[in-house]
Amino acid sequence: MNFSKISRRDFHTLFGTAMGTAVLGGIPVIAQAAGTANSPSAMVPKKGGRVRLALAQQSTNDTFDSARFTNANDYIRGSAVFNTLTRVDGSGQAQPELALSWDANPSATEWRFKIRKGVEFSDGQPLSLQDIAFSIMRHKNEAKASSAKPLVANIAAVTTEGDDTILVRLAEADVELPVLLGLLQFCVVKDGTEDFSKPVGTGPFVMAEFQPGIRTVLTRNTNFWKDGQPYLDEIEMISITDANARVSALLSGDIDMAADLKGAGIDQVAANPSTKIFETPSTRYAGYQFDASTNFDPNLGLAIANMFDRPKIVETVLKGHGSVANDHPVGKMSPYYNANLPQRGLDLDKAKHYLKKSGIGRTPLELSVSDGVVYSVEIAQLLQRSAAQAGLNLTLRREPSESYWTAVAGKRRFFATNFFPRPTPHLLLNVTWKSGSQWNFSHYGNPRLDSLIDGVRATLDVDKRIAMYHEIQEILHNCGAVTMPVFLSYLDGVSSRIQGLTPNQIGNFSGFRFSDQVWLS
Amino acid sequence: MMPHQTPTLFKSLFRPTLLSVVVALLLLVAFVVLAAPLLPLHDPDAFLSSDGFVPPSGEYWLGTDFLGRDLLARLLSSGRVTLGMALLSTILAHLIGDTLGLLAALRGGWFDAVVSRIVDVVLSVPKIIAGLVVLAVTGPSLVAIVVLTAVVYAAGVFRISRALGQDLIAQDFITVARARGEGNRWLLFGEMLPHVVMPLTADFALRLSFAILFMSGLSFLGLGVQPPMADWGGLVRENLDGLQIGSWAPIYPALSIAVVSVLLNLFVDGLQEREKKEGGV
Amino acid sequence: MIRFIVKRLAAGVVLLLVISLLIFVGCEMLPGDVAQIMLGQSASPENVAALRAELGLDQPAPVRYLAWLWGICHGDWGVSMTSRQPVSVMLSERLSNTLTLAGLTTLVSVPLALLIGMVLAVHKGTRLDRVGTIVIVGLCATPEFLVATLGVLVFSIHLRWLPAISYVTPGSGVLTLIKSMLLPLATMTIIVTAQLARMTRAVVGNILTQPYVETARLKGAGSVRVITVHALRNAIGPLINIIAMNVAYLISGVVIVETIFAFPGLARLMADSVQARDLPVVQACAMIFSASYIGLIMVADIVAKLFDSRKEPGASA
Repeated sequence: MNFSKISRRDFHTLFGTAMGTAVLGGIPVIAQAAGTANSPSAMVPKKGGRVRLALAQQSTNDTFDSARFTNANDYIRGSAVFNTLTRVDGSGQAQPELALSWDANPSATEWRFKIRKGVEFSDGQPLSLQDIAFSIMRHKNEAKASSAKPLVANIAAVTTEGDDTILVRLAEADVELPVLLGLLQFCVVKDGTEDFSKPVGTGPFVMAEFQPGIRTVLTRNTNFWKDGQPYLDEIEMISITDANARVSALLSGDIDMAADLKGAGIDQVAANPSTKIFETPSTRYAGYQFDASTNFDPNLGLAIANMFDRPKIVETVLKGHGSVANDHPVGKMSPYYNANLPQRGLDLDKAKHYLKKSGIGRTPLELSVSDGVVYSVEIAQLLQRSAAQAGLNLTLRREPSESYWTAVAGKRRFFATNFFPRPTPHLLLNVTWKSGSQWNFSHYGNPRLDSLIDGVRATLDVDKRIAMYHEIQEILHNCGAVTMPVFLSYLDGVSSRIQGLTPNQIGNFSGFRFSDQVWLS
Repeated sequence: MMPHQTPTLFKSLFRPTLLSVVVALLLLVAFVVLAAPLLPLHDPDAFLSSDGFVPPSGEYWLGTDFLGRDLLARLLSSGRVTLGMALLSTILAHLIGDTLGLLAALRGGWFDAVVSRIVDVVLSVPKIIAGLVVLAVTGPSLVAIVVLTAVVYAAGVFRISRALGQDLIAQDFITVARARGEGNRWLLFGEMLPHVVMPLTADFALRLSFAILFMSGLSFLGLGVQPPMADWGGLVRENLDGLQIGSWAPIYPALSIAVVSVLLNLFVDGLQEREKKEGGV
Repeated sequence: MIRFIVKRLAAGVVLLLVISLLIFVGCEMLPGDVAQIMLGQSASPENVAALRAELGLDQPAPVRYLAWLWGICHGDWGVSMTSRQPVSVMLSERLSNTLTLAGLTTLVSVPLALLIGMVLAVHKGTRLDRVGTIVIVGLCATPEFLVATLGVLVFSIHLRWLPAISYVTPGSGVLTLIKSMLLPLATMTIIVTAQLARMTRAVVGNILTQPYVETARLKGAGSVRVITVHALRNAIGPLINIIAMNVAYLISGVVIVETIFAFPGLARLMADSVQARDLPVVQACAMIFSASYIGLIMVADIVAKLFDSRKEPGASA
């Protein structure tokens, strides 16, 4: 699974939508702890212990350099050793971390961040304002390959003011800059750091051992600035690529945390008294996209959109751990959600109507799917069934997961994608649907959409912004270049002893940032 | 010289019978798999139940798979894919391997040297790794999988047919035929082929079962047959997590592979024994 | 004999060269390139170009190939493109893991398989042989991922005797090491023993029907004596070859078992590196696999030649 797919999230879209299994009385996590209860008495953090965590994907690509972060394991490793200026919480708001407070000028083009004093790196050297400026601006360095380049394009300069303030000057207004700087791409490193083989950060842990693709061992940073934290003594990260093997290892007690459960393993983990499910409802979406630049007919996309039996996908494939989506990336709980758009469902008559308009006839249409795109292989098989009923000759092509995002997505006529939630809706749209942006795999170009996307970042009036977001959703819903049938929850398995996880839809295990908040009961 | 002590009446009756039983069973498997579309079964690709791994019942004789499809129907339809592809690639492997192997034995010299070295190269690259690289380049199409399997196994076939050919060359009748002035083509098809048909048939049956396994390994790595189609290995793979909740879904296709392999091996054994007897008389 | 060995060695080196070229060309043909894969789909063309230059990928392919070859001759395996670690460092732990597993499996399965195969061969045609053969062939035909998963289910999840993953931390005790390796070891042993036993049965069974063995039998030699003295000596040639092939398979072909048990071995590294387009690592693994295959077969050939008194009675030294 590749976490560099930018995705979006709304401010308040914590819950996603509850379909199938219920969201328990407003508590966003469905922690099915059989046996051990999450009773209040168990909620006093205890110190000590070591945790072994297994991820689906670890490779020789693993790194501590946040400019090159791609996978969940990079983000987890990074958040354990480094800090960011802000920390995006479960409700999508930026909370103080290395920055204590912040404010902007009325046009939101200049932001001042007041930095926490007395913070030291794990080697004892104090954190300086220069370090912070470097950590942001290094992504703009032309010679440096950084996945955060598009994110810093709007940042004109970072300067220091006095002994505790940094000033970020923007080219255009951005009301959500504090959230942007909470992304793990902006891990704070020492000024001038180029070599990340021996990382030194201000985070809760220090690297004890690092073997890319094999293991990472992190030990407690005794010099951490948060009082009493972290609670764990040691975290060991390993990779178990096979989903069944991950579940087996969790059930047998060989590991304490397993990312991304799938299939029958979910029931097993839920039923076992010594393990529990940690579910994070999310607007991570499954997308089925067309290349809009060549040989594109919106009718074909609209036909496909009417072929998904969405509730059945949630039930059969996701086993209830997800929710129905409406062909745009905004979830029902978001304040920006457009409730006036009718919810699309399975409608073979409409599908046939659009198919006829497209004139595709019995010409085969090939859909590229991959294990690297969560659930795409399974969802596509359901789609294929309805396609056959509607008279479309849809064939599937399973592509290798590792090279999917470079060799398939955006290169084939019709392909599956999935995007991970990101803290601001603008961030996602900017890089996935604006003309010419890197992750606009559909090569979609719509001047009206472009101006709306730029507009929402710079529009300070909330009502106006909502109206703009509504129009964005309508455009995507009707464009035919993409279908988004469902949102997918994060589904992790943990030992019943693991406490202190709070859902954060940015990613697995509290938005990857569990290391300083988890303890063992 | 009789190879064994006097065979009892029972044994001499039993041996050929076993062979014919095995052949009959293999034909039965082929028939069932081929006739599956005509049988009153569920659609193998239809999503019948929202729950995965429904236990066997009157409706679903073997239960359902992880997405609620009828397992029996899928088992038979994937049997067609498995056996068809394995057969095709093994035939191809033998066409390539036998021709080159016998020719190499017959002509010797630079031809033999060149082909033998190429075969060495093919053999020294691990099969599954070769599969990974090749299918990453070509994409996992049915044609690519069949050709890959054929080439990978043709190398082994070559070694065997070449060895058989060399044994023949040393024998008189080839020398005699050569002295008669027969061309290579006649030597190959007229003189040599009839003598190697039996051992090569035996090898064919064995390699068929290897091919089934090799393709199931590819399926495990996600490079096999494309969904919703599956081979037996893929069926095992996609239902593997059912084991944890006590479902037999992955066991049936695995058993199918095993049964076909056992039958093929018994077939080879029977063939060899019969040949030995006939040769001994 | 020495001439034979030298000739084989030279052929082996040439073969390795050809294979390295083959792998290089294969990797060149893979879709997607390492710079792009490292940067994920966020990569802008400038980013990719920057990284490509950093990695030396902007050099023409023949230059890169020759540079690599030159390094190998000096014991320098190069630096991984993705982890920027020396390849030799990445290989060392995995190589020792792989060799340990392959070695242990060989130690257990070879004697076991020879014994089973010979017993079946001697009793060819009996009910013991029929049942034994069916069991062995059935095991040969069972996908290894099923054997492994069943093992995990029984011994790790239900009985909780053995760990479900074979993940070895260096410096852990011998007992822990053995315990964590037991399941993959058992899986591989079952698969390899079944295959070896099947072939042993065929080879030994074949020899037992040869005229000279019949002669020995008629002279009144007992079954055990026939097997040990006559049959086994003649079976060594073909058997050692089969064993060599199986050991080579254990070194290179166990990617599935490594995946299921999260065992950090070479095959998985190679598979991952193929997908990450990390050419130096792919090359190194491929060279190790091919070299081990070629080396093992060579040893087998030499041993076979030493024992082969039949074809060339006066084999010159």
